[in-house]
Amino acid sequence: MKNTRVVSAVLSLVLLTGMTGMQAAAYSTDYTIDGNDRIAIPETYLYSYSINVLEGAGPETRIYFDQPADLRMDGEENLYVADTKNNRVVKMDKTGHLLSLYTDAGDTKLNQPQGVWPGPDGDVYIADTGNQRIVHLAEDGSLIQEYGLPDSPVLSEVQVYSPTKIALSPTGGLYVLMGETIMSIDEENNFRGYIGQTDVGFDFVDWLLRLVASEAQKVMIGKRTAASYTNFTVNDEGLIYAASQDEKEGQIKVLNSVGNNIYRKLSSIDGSFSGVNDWVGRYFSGNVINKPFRYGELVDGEEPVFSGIAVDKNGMITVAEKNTGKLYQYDQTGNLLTVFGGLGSNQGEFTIPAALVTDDAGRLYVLDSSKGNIQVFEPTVFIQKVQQATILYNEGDYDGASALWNEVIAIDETYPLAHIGLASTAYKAGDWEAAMEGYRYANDRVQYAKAFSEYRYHFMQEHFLLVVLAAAAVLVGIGALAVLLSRQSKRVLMGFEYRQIPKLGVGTGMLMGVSLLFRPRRTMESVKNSRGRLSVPAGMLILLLALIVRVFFIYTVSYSFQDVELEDVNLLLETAKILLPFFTWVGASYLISAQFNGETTLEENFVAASYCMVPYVVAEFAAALLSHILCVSEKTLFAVLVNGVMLWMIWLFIRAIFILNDYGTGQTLLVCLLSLCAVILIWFIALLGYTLVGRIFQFVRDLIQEASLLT
Amino acid sequence: MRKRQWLRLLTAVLAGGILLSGCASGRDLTGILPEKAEGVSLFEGQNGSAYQAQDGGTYETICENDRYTLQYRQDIAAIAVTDRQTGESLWDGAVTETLYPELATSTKVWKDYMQSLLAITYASKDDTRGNFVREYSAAPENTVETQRYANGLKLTVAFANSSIRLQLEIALEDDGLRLRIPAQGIEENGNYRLYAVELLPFFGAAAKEEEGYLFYPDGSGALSYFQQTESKHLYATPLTLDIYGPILQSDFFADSESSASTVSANPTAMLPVYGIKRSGRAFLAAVVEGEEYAQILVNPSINMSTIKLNRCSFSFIYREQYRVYLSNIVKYGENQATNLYGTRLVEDLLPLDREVKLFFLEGDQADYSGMAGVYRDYLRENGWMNASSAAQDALSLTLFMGAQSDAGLLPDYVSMTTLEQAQSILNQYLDGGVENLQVLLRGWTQHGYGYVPDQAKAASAVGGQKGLEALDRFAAEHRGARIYLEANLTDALEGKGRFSDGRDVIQQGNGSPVTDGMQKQFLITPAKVWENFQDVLRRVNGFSSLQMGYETLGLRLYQDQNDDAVVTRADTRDLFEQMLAHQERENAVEGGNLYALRYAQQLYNVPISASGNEITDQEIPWFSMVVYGSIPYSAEPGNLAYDLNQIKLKWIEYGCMPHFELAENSPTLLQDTDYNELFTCKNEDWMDRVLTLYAEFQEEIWPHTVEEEGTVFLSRHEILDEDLIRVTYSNGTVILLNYGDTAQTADGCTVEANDYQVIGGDEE
Repeated sequence: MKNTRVVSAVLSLVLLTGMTGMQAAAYSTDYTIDGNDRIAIPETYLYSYSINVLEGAGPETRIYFDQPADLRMDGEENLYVADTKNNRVVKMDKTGHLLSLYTDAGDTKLNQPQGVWPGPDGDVYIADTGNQRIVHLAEDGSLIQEYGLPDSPVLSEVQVYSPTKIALSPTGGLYVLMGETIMSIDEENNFRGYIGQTDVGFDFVDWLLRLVASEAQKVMIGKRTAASYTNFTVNDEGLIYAASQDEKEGQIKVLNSVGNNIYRKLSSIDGSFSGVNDWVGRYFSGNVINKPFRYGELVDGEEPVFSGIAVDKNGMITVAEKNTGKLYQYDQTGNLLTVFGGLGSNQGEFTIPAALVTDDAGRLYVLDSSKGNIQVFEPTVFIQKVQQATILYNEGDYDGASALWNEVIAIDETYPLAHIGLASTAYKAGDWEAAMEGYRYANDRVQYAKAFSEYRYHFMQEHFLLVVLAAAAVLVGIGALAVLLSRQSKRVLMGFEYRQIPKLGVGTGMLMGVSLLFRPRRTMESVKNSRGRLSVPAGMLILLLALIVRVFFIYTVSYSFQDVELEDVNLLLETAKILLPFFTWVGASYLISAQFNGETTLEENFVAASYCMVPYVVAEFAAALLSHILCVSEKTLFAVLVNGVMLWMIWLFIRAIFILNDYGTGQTLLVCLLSLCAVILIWFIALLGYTLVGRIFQFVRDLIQEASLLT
Repeated sequence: MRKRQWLRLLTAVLAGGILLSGCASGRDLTGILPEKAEGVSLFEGQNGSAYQAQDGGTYETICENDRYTLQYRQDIAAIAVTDRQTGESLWDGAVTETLYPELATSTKVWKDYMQSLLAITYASKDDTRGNFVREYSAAPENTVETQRYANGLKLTVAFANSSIRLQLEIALEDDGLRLRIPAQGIEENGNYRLYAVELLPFFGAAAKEEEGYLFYPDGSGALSYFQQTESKHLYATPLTLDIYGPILQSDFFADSESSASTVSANPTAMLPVYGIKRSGRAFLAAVVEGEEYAQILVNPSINMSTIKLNRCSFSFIYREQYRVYLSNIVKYGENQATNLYGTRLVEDLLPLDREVKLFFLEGDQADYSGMAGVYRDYLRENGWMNASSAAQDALSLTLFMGAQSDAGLLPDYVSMTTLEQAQSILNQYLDGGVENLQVLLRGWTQHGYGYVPDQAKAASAVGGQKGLEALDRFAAEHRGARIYLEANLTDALEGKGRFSDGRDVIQQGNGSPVTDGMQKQFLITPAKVWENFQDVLRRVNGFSSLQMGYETLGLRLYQDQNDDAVVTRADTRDLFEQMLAHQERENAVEGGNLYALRYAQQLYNVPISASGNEITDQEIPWFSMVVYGSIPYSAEPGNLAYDLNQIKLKWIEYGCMPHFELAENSPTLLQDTDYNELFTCKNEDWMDRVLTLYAEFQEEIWPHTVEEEGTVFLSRHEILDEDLIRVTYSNGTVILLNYGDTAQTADGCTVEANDYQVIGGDEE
């Protein structure tokens, strides 16, 4: 338990470091998100007015709302509020003038209704949650039909039927939110099926627990449930727009009539946040990073919870986040357009945003269940242009979109989506370089790579002869260099073996390392047989070289092959990534092998291990250069270079132990395994010590504080 | 028992060690700030006599002048002001049954509160939970000694439960009242610490049926109408304004992006005033001394309020609070995660005299414009605000020079405008017909914007010292362009500049630095601010024509609760004033806090809206009405607005200089810097629009609102219709502004949608 807390603390620290604090006063607090950074943008929605009380109600009618849970709008742009704690549903116009009040259905009073949906001809459907039913009322309030729990064997598990959010399908029938799924019923209250059931997925820890648990314990573990839906709405075409707590597929879903999610899925995006498969994928793609994407933002490491969702006639989706009161707006394809709102007691801020709708003019009506009011937001020219541009682009009107994106740029030159939009237009027009520049600015590696491969293709076509000649020249050069190095290192190796070189200097020591590339076994053997004649400085220099090459790689690798964002680069971290495993391995393997009749000294161990780093130096250097002519589709080649060389190095490390200590195969493996365990143990103890010291510090600090309170 | 002793010994040793290590830090301001003068009583030189009422249960006259009579009711120690001519009651300090019929049936606590001149808040000495208790001066168990003077009264209230004693002096003046709570008169005889004193909590309180409003200086100024209080939502809460920025240290970074809880701090009041307008009369209350630790409490009659009256008052804070982390402390059996933090009051009482002036207004003057008028006159007559030498009819430009990029292993200065380019940009505007330019250079120091300027060296990438010298010559040759070098001496960001987050930043009472949730933002100690200020001065000493601009100096005060050298907000204020007064140079100051008005030649980033709190019905340019004609000011940059026309109208309504923040290069270069809110700024893209807009001001607005000889004030602001505004200048000029989407007519003049009309005063 403690450990997981430490790990999660470390994790959240890592996740947060990408964010930066804005210092000067920002005049607009709206923003969009690029990777982990918030990007300030001009105002997108302006608070217009709020409906705090019912206008035109009689004296016997309570003018305030009490914990209203749902808000919907009909075709005439009238508002319907499920005024839950007042046990009523209110129909009013856009300014809050009361039109109708529904307090009972049939003979029964409404009991804490949590959902409402306007039907055709002024009818209204109400999720009468407390009465475990859905009712269909005529405009005058008379009961047309009552829907209890449908009679179906599938629903036998449902103990208490408490419908909350409901929606009418344009093709007839009702959708009812049922936690993990959305239930579809027809007009006669027959069960038609579940829609959009989230996959529970595989959980390793749970699997392991169940494997070892007894029957009694299994009952205690509890059933794992799929992610719940929190709210949904249905548009005129019958598409279901749902807010879910699904962290894998994404918290916003657009479900078609058969329940398939046709919206942007997190799992289909490179570089998004998902499990083990991703690590494997990253390995074979050479650790190439991509822009992280998620719906909403992490708040203190917590996933967002969207309590309300609205979609306008153009498919713009706006969701309300419950814990931060922020509204996020996404376009038809899942690009974030703007974030605004927030918690607070100012106009345009919320306590608990519960539901929202949008009208034809693009105004947003947001219901706050705690404040018990509806706040209305007006779109500014800026966001209207942005929305229009995405619409035109999705309709295929690239010129129109491009003109609008230029207008957007005139207001906000740094708006990332505008750069992507313009880059896409440039791409379509065959201006690859402009496209690459735009994608790069907006940090869209996937599209950049596509533009680059087009660029390379056309470059090769135009300069075929030149390219071939250059390639040949480079190959010849590399060959010559390899031959030269091989000869030089062989000379040193032989000189060393035959004691013409009594003790290795820095230069010769490093050449010995190079010789490992060409004659690994012989080089190791000579290290083993030359106690006291090795050069530690040369080993240090190789390590330094590894660091330098790493820095070189970070700065020169091509944009599409970067494995770390330049703004996230941390010299200390990069150094630690190379030196920490190296030194713990050297120490641990020395200690372990000493227990197993090993024959090496620490010095030999270190020198041999440093020689094993030479392949890294060569490969990282080559990869950085090679990345400039490779397309992302050829990333496997790149991966072989940067990750394949790791395998080779691991092999070299094992060989070093094998040869230096004169072990058999089995013994080598055992020593390696134990060394690995020792490495992990050392790290664990270091982490534990770090935490412990921190705790002690905190304890002492608290103690002093406590003492100061006594005075 | 034994365990406890051991614990005590340990803590004593530890505390001793900490004390020793904390010494000799050189954080205090001794020798920098001038000696404080002793406070002067309102009745200095007069001999008072003990006052005994004939009938304690009714109001009896204490004194009168030409216009007003001051009355006093001894049993509840209440005052009232009546019209001397008509005898009509004007203002009551205590709520009457006529105003509030439920008074008789109210509980004792509420009744006492409603009739009190003073309400005190205190806590027991060992309190860590913020368990504040209140007592009211009108409560019968208190004893009140009354001294009578020629023009007023002096009350000494001994609160029965807390054994706290307070003095209150009340003097009648020609135009109103003056009240004073001398610091020397405060005594704490019991086991309690005084936290706050609310002065005149129900003075001028109005019923919700009445016509009128509360005025409070939230941002540019705001109104809450009595009759609209019911239209607020069910759970709307009263509003508290902090004068000169957050008073609680934990609020300093409450709005920062990094904190997960987005709950915002109290809005800031730049001027320490509030006003109440009731049908035919109004008053403005202004703190004239001790406003550094004061709040304005705005209590409209909303659903949540127990007493359905509209009222405003000042709350004077007498002790700072700090938060303590209580993880190891179990008190009353509670040690839950939600209760991990406690609050504690510092030991020492703030030795501040508090003085408030009430201005009574009648007839035409009895509205918020009238309030602004008397306050403007008061400030000008008493030297609180001086006429600036800078031109009002000027174009205000901020030129962004550069910032540090975060990308890569080594820091990298992103140059947005070099000093040479700045010259050429300014030349372009001067050639383009701009007669007066107010220019602020931002991010010109080494490492660029956001760095603590421990050495105010010009960044070599923008041209270094040579570049500054050339710019100084340029400024000398071009008198139309006033150039201010901006410095931020108060803020520090982790990793940006040389400062120690132990020694150089302000601390809480528990010794930990004041910072945001991610420990990234800090505030520089006043002593270090002074040190850095000296460095900056040394750097710019050689320049004759370059002026200085100070970020945040007019936005907020702060305090340092470090044990070694406690620095109060009042000290910080004195320091800031010292800095602004110190040099020969002209000052541009960010924000418009009262203490800066006396020294500033130009104000920038002045709010042109209120915080938008739910209880606010109307935003008004009250600050503008006070300052216009004395000091030129600018607000938000027009290039960052979503619609230039909208902000132009706002500038005209609020009397601002047109303002833009520009640079030579494209803002896309700033992608990897912290300064990413400047999303469009390339001068090439903006110059034509800026020049057109300047020409419009020069031709349409300024000829009517700025005069060479004599001063023109913004004398009246009226909301004619939801989107139709009329502003009137003291020379008779009227400007009608229409923010609506349809044309509207007023004064026989049609104003197009989203447009304005100037009706020149001189022609009429």
